[in-house]
Amino acid sequence: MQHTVEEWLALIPKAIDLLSPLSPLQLRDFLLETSMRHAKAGEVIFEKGAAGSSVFAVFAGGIKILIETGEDLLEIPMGAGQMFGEVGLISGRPRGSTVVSSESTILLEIPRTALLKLMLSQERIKNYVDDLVATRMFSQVFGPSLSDESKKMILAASELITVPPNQYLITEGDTKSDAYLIRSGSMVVERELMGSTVFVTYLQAGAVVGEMAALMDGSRNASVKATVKSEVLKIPKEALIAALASSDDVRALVESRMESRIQVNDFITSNKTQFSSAVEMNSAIAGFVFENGLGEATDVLVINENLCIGCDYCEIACAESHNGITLLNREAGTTFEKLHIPTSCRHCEQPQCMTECPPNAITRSVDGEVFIADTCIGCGNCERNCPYDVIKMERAPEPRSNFLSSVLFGLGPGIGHRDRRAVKVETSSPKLARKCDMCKGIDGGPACVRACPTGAAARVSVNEFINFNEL
Amino acid sequence: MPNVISQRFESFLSFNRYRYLWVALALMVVAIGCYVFAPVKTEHNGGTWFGYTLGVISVGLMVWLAALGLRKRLIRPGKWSQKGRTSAHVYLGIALALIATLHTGFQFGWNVHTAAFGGMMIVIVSGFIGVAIYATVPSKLSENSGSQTFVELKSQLDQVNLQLDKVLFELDGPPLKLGERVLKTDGVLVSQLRALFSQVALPVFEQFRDSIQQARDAGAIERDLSLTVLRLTQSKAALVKRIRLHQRYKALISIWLAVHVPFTFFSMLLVGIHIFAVFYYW
Ligand code: HEM
Repeated sequence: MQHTVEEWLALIPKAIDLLSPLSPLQLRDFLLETSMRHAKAGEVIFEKGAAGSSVFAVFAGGIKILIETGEDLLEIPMGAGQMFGEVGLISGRPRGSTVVSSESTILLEIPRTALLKLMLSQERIKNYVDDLVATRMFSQVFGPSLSDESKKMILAASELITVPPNQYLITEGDTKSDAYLIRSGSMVVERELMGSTVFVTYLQAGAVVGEMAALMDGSRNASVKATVKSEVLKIPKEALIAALASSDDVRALVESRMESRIQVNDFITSNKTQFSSAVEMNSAIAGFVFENGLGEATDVLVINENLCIGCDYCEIACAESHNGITLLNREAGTTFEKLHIPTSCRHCEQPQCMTECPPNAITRSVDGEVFIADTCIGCGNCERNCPYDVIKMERAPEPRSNFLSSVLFGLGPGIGHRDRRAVKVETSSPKLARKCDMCKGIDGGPACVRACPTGAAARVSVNEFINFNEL
Repeated sequence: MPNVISQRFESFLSFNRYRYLWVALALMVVAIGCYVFAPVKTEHNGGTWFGYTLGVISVGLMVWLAALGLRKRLIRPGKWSQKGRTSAHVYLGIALALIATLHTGFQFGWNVHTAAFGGMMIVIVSGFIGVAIYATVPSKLSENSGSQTFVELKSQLDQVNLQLDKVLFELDGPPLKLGERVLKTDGVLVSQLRALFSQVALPVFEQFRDSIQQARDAGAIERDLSLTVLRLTQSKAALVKRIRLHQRYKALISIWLAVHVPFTFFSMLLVGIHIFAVFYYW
């Protein structure tokens, strides 16, 4: 196939629905940011669990999405014009399933930022993608047996609501009975037990809450609160009931999930005296985690103050691994129960630093770290946008003097440039944005953890923080 | 600390399920066994073939232990962990104490050989003190400063001083004199040694409060003013105590190294002389 640029520009919107609202000029601009990719039959496009920050559209050919349901492997085919990998829009979320091409296929790979930009400027595209994402989430929540008509019905009946951080979506004891699908952001479920608020669980985008009250006509037995700005789809009770009535499989799936939730609830209620201290502790941790924005974090440096001798080798190691600039401030930050969270990048799920980066220099690597590429122009937007104050604008320091002469005789700028005042900076070098990149590409992983002489430093994910294995 | 999370941490002492403790114990058992059963012709000393072996092992261990200071500062990519190195350092350092003692064959005297041994033992004993400090002081440090940093404590003290300075205006006589002393009392101590040994609860605060109470009882100052002054003094006393304790703990954590590190160099020098003497006077 030999086509001229003009021919391509005519072919692409015809093949890919998503792009049909665009004028040729807009399309041309947009395509410059995307890439075309060919996949042979049977080639893996991406694997489940991999981090990804792009969305795909099938231009020609076909792919299949492999979904594991219990023992079975379900294949969902997709042909020309369809989109997949939309989870890439939620930065930091790993791919939910593996995708393989079923024949020789041409794909349009759209970087997350490019699509987000397009959605901001084109209402129709935003609606298209939003509906697509919601429909896919319905399939995940209600199982693959949910018919297309039911999906359309739920979608038409539901309403998009934005919940500001720390606001309650559902209040315990309330008699409202709609269900909600969390589209973006995350929420915590809490219950009142013996006069205190107890943290029950943490929900991420893609989860449904409130269906129990909707289906069982009771009052709400727990509260649900947004930890970060979140978007939810309000699904009215009637739509939910109609969807369940449409298929036995769907009903069975939702009921079995509800049953296990009821069990957990009963368990907490009946064992409350026995487990009150564990529950209280977990609630306290959860509170701390979310107050400090750790709910957004994918990976965070935690220092155990029972072990920390304050030697600052974590900072020094950080500087040694990043051209003499430490991206970590150990002493600053917050502390809870001897757990200290120093000021260092949390690798947020929805990094606000990325939002206004003119050269798009902030991205997430395949392993999940958010990092700033060399294309940084030093505008400082990210420094201002970061809610946790972890991005610094700095010039490169002068290179270090010889290792032995600096360690043994204290000559020249020493290791880690401990005394920053003594360090001469290269004034010719521009001030660029610097922040923790989790030692991306450095063998052995985060230097702060490796360099700790006592074992006080560890990288912890949010899920580990609020782990209910103890209960 | 919450249980779930504390499991994520492993201290240098328990590193890898006490791996280096077991290594050191094995080394020590073997050394003692050989010492008892080795077919040495004369009595034990550094000059037998067995003594030489122990001597070579000791020097090797010593150089390797001393290299910790360099290795810690040479931060390069790779799968190393400084925690593991500290762990090995501590346990093998203890093993060295035994091996070197066996190397002497308990033949001590007023000579350079015993001096070398003594120097090394000072390093090792200070190492023990260091471990004891590392195991106990950090949690005290953390309890003392709570969720505040040193800088925050200091700026809080500045705030209190500012307010105290204002109310001192309204005092006179002995309360004013004491008040000025209270105002000048600094929480932050310059040297580590002073931080280690100076008082944390200062009598001047008590004296000042007593004098204010007396003045109030005598009707010399108003009740409101006295309450303000008492409150400020109370805050200042508490802050000074916390700041000084913070500095004391910080000093404790580092000051033992002021013995450990110089004596490392010194004992290596003595060991060098000891080896030279052995071969020179052969
Ligand atoms: C002859 C034997 C030893 C030598 C030559 C030696 C030498 C050293 C050196 C050079 C350092 C580095 C200090 C620094 O860079 O900050 C050090 C640190 C240390 N040593 Fe030893 N040491 C010996 C035995 C021991 C023993 C027996 C113990 C414990 C029982 C011990 C415990 C420690 C500890 C806890 C540190 C601090 C580690 C850190 O904070 O990074 N040492 N030692």
